[in-house]
Amino acid sequence: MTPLREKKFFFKADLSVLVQARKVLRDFYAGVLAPSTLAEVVQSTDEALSNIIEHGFSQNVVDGKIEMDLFLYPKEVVVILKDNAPSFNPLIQQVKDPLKTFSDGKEGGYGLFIIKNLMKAEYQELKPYGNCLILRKEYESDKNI
Amino acid sequence: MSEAVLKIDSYIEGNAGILKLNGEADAHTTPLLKEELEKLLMAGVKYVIYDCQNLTYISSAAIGATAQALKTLKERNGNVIFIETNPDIKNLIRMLIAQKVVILPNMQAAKNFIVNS
Repeated sequence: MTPLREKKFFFKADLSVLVQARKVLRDFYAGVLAPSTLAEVVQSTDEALSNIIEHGFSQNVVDGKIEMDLFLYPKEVVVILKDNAPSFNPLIQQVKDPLKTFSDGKEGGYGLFIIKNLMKAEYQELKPYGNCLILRKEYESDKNI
Repeated sequence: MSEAVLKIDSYIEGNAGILKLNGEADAHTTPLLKEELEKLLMAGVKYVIYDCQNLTYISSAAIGATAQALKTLKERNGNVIFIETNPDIKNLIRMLIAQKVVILPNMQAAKNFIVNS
């Protein structure tokens, strides 16, 4: 199926780009998604990007890069994140109970829970190296938005 | 380089530390939040009130920073109180940690909660 809209963005693997990535997402899907749906797409993608930058590139990768491909289909949003970090599938990690994690005073472990609860996520290993995370979310088409 | 997107005004009233958050709290700006939380905890506060009136986004990194602070506050029989949250932030807090923190509409409600606790 041909998307109604698509665009590619490229970022360096640095946490300072998160604000720019959120702006890109909001601008791209503005006026199409209901505000609550847009917020969930932004939240999930921000959490995924943060994980990639903090954990994917935690090893010494020179010139870490992330490509963010945005697609809008008639009933579905698709966000594809590609990076050149060492191969790692975050989706096979155990999703922790956020309440227990929070009670234990732990800082991390909430991102994957958020991603899996707000969007459908798939992982593909890129050859010869790198990772591809595909985030999907169906939405209600509403011309009144 | 992107500009910092979070500004924090911090002050203490009684046994409560108040953090007025302006902007977006993400993984990049969480160290700033942790720094301010640490100052309040060092000052001995029992409660931390997050005034979210001008907070437009919060990520799990900021929630994680709150978890560490809450552990200390609970040892003091205190808590973390969120006020003036927008619907998206309220939804995230409810999804992750609603049973562990307090969400109230405004500062007066927070002060009443503290007095009656």
